[in-house]
Amino acid sequence: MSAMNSGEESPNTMRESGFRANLHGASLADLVQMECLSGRERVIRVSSGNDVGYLFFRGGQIVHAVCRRGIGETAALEILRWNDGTFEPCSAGWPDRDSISSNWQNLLILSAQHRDESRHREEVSGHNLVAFPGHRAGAPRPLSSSPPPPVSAPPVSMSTSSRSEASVSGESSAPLLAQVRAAVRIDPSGNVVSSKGDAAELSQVAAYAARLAELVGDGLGMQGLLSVEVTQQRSRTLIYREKSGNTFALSAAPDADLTQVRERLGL
Amino acid sequence: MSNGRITNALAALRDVAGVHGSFVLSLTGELMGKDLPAVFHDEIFVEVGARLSRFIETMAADGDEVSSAVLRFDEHRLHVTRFAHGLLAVIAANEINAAALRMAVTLTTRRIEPEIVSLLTSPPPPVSPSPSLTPPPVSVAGSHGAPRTYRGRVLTSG
Repeated sequence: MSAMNSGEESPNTMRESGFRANLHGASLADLVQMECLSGRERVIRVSSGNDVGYLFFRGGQIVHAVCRRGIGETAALEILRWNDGTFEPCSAGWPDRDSISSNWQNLLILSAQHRDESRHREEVSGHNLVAFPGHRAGAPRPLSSSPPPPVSAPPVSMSTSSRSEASVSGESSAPLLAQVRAAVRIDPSGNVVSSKGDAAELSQVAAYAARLAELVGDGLGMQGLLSVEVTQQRSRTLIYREKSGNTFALSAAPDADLTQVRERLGL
Repeated sequence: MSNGRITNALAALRDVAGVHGSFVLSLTGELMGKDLPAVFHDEIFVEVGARLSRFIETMAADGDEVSSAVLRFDEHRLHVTRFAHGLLAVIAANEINAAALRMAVTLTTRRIEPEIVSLLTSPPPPVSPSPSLTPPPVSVAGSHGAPRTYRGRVLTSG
């Protein structure tokens, strides 16, 4: 959550305000999703063991990625396969042009598929005698001819940092991501701040439903609407009223487990 | 339209720790019964009922019917369950055993459903017929000045 609420910043400067988070147990997929939903433009340095990669976010998408194995989509998929490590903003230099055109949902789904296939191969082989360098943190890797990664900024002190530093570990939440059909953030005037998927109708429904829920609460003496969660025959909808006054809504498959989302929102 | 048997059925929900009370609405938002402290007088539910009904309607705008909803507030939450003929809403504390509440709600909706159907289908109170509303007696051909007809043709005299 804090990553979503922290202030905006340009890719090469750190703002002097905002939250710094230290999340344990979050998956890289979770953090990428949060970053994309925030719509911010910035570079994130992801490290896992001896591996370091950079994800470039702009306009709610991953537009560029670099790691020792390559650049672009290849690098993004490589980074997204890492199981644990750290995730922190840095002031790396931006490329002249974007190297990734796929949307972030596709990247996460592809990454999850690759992981599943790798796992399946390991299971089929019976014994995991062969180490896959891409899966083992700290395993030696051949240096490739890809361009060197950009230089990261030194860590920013806690009192002045706007970054959200997180350690990444645990299993990917790609199954949940695959079940999220649309997500949208609306400001108090009803303008769409950011959206994913086909969120046109969701934005209207969420805005009106949240207002009605607020009025129902007022009528019954219940103040401070936090969220609305609706179970429908063909979907589940979660509407969350942020402290900023913005409304965040997501629509997911009916059997989607929203526990992670609820926990992240403090519900 | 409140019903004592509905109120009794709703009272069972209070067995779940954290439940403050509950009420039942028709699908159009009309209050059918409640088990709440006296401060929640019926007039409140004119607006609350209509809005809650609109809320459910909004969420089902694309034809995806709502089964249930949880509205979370700072200190309380409102669990709304849609059943065939109405909405059951439970006001509860935020810290509540959700599984226990779901079970209690299932049993309660099963109990109140026939009562709701009975209320919704009960005939309106009889109204005494006034002379002005009494329909005219069935006319006999040729009576009351109406022209006589034979096989659809008007018969002329003579």
